[in-house]
Amino acid sequence: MFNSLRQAMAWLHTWFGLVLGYLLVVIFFFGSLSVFDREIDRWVLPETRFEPQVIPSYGDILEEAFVNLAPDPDELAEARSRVEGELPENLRVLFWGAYTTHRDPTLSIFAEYAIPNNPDDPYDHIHGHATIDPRNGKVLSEDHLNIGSEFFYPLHYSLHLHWKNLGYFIVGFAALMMLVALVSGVVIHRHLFKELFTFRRDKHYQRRVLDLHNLTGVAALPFHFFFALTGLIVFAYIYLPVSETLLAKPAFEYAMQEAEEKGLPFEAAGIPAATASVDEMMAEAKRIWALRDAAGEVGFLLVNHPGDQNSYVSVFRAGTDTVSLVGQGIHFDGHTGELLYEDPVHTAIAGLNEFLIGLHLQHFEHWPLRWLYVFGGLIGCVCIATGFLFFVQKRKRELKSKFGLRSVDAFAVTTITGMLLATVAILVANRLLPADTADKGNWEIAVFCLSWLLSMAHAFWRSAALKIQAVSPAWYEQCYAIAALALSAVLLNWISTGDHLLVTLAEPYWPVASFDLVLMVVSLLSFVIARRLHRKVIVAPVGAQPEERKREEVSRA
Amino acid sequence: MASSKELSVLHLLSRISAGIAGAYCFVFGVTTLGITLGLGLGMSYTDAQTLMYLLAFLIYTTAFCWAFIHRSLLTIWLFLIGGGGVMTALGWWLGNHA
Repeated sequence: MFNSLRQAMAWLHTWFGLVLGYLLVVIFFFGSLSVFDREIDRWVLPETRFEPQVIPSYGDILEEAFVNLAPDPDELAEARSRVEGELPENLRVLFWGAYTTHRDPTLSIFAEYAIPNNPDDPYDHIHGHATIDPRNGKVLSEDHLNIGSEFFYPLHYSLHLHWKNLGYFIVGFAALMMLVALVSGVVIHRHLFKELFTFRRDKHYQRRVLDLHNLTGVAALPFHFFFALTGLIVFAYIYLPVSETLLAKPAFEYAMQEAEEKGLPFEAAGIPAATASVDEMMAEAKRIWALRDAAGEVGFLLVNHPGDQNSYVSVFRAGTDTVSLVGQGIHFDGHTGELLYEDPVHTAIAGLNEFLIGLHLQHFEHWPLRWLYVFGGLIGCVCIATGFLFFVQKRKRELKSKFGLRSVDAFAVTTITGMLLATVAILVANRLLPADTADKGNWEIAVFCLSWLLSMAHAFWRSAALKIQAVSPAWYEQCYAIAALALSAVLLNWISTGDHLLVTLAEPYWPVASFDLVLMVVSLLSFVIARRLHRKVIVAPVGAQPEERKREEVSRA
Repeated sequence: MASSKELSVLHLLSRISAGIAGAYCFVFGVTTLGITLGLGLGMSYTDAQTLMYLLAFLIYTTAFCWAFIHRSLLTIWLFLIGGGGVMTALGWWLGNHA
């Protein structure tokens, strides 16, 4: 079929890159935003604009918050259809958990509840989740959406398509094709080092786009490869579920054996028992870490089988100063409070895995690296977007008379400017909708989806102009809209909260100040790009003579 | 490499299917067998599984690209689906009965 290795790789690079390019831009873009998901949460939820907190006292705050936590209503409704008979009113708690990082003022708490009487799965369970203010235990309204961590971030890895984990598989396949595109890209380019320094801005548009595609692809090659690969490793258990299917028996036996060896009961005894002081357990864990010259805060707390004689409490050190998310787990008997087990030093394989996943998720404290992640992600967006812009440009003549050109161009507009438009639109909606709006989060999501759909309709409508001019007006019209909306978001934040830049910079409160600054840069850049594109359309319509167009290009350069 | 004369939609679809589904089947087999072999070598289940997860996507990428490089489509299908099937069955048997 292909006459050479290079030809085969070029075909793979072109076609899989094009088909999945649109999706990869979305994944890379929202991945880049997710690097600052907590900071975006502060911007959209003014009531959470206070300093990051450590895990609060169990006795004073957490215990009550855990007891009041309830199963997710949707999961509960689904579970009812899986069981024989009625579910008990109070489901048995399998565990309570709390997780925090050095960037979290609020605390995420969660639980797992046993679902009895499922004939197909004796270990069936559902979850519960809430966000609390760790200073007083107050539950934050479920109507409010953490747009950064609960909307942008899951969009990055699951597209919010949870049916049969469909979104995870689509994103996983796109990540695999990213790896393939990188490998095939390396094979088809003979002069990789040279590409790193090549950008010929005086050449024609098609060449400039290709130069930019090659430059960004090569410059950030290790970054792109690393993130595509580690993103797959994070969700490998979903993509290759061998331990829940073919190897379920040995996996279960191993889990039972491991629990017995560690002295950590796998199942509840069914005998009620009082819980010892969890605060003392956390203090003891911190004392042990300090003794080992690794003083730190609690990042992750698990209370297993609470209120049962087999209860045990696991305390993990926050990974603020290490690449891995959390570590050095210490486990206590929940009933007596005595120390049961300390996690040993990782094996080489577990250590490597923790390192790779930790580097992808970046919960550790390193602000310059965090910004580099954002730039790396955005460079990835530029690389992929220039890839399909080059594809369109190269085939323009073949496609000109067909619907194909209009479609490809309209999808490109929808993916790039439409995605940005939807992103700033949800922020504007967040500031415009009153805080007490019922179901506020869902309204914000509706605005996001509607804006994106409208941008697509606009892109298709305006692509009709491609018959008479080189650039669809949709590009610059949507850039103007992004510029206006991004600036509006900054102003609306000022009006609705009083936190304008002079206040947040003087304090300083970086989560809001930096996000406002980013929005202003986005607004300015969008405006400049819109103006340039608009002027280009005015001076060089497609019908102009080649010489005339060349002169225009030279004069602009 | 096959000749460009052989280019047909069916041929192309077959290669794409082999690249996507065949490579997945192959990697599923490698993971299943790899975990059980790791257990046999004295590794903990967690370590054996993690090691295979670390390798799986590098193997998938290689297998996917290979499906577009190798001349014989029959060999590609036999190796990926056949090899994947045999490894999956062997891994399952070793893990559950050995």
